[in-house]
Amino acid sequence: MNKVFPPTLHLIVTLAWLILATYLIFLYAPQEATMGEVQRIFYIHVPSAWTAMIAYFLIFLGSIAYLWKRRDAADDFAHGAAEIGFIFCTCVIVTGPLWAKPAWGIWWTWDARLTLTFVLWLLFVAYLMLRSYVINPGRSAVLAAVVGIFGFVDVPIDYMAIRWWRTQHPQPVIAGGEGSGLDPRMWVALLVTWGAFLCLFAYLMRQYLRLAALEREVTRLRRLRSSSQEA
Amino acid sequence: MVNGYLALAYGFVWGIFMLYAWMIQRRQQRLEREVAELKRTLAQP
Repeated sequence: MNKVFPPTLHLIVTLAWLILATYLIFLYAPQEATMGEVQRIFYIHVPSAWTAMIAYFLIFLGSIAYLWKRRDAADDFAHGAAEIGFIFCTCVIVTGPLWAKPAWGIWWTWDARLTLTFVLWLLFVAYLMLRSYVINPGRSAVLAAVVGIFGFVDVPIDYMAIRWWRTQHPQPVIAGGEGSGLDPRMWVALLVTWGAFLCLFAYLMRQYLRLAALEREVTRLRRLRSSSQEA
Repeated sequence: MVNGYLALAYGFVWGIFMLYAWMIQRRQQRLEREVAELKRTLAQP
């Protein structure tokens, strides 16, 4: 992977994609008639939410793989997806109220979608807290994997919440029925931004996995040093 | 005139990603130094 698509090239592609997305959001997509400029928050809020949900799905897969095979690589994968997914989910939690205040007149309401997204954010926090506070690495990985698997229940319910229940949150833009569509230029801006976010997610995952490999190497070398000192 | 809420939202998102990328880079550099140091120690007779 590193030879075919080196990290530096990945970073350049990500930055170029983000610049293109910014251009499309501010100069290509039309201004929404009722909300005006503030509607453009949508282009980072929605892709962040989709990416956070994908991140949790990756935690779910990594956790199953770890409990099944007990491979460190699966645990690193789940841990990386949790760390980066947490950042995307935080973006959702912060940008949502920044849109809601001018649109609804309130920062927050405990409707189904908002509450379930907050629960998703808490699941990311719980996963990362388990990784930080449980000292035994094997035990920490197992407990976090359990949170990763059971917590995944929240993701499909969160995704479907605006389809199943009447919520304050706007209705879906995908498969939301008649009248829920977007202007084609808005679609382009939204999908290009999501692509840029996925590329950024993949780049950060690569960086995280490199970091995890270095951490394991440090642990291995420290053990070697201790055993050589004892001998 | 850019809307204040819009500026805050975009500023937060770009800021948090830059901060995370910088933090992960720093952690990597610290660990790379530590690996080099440990290898040097182990190579000594």
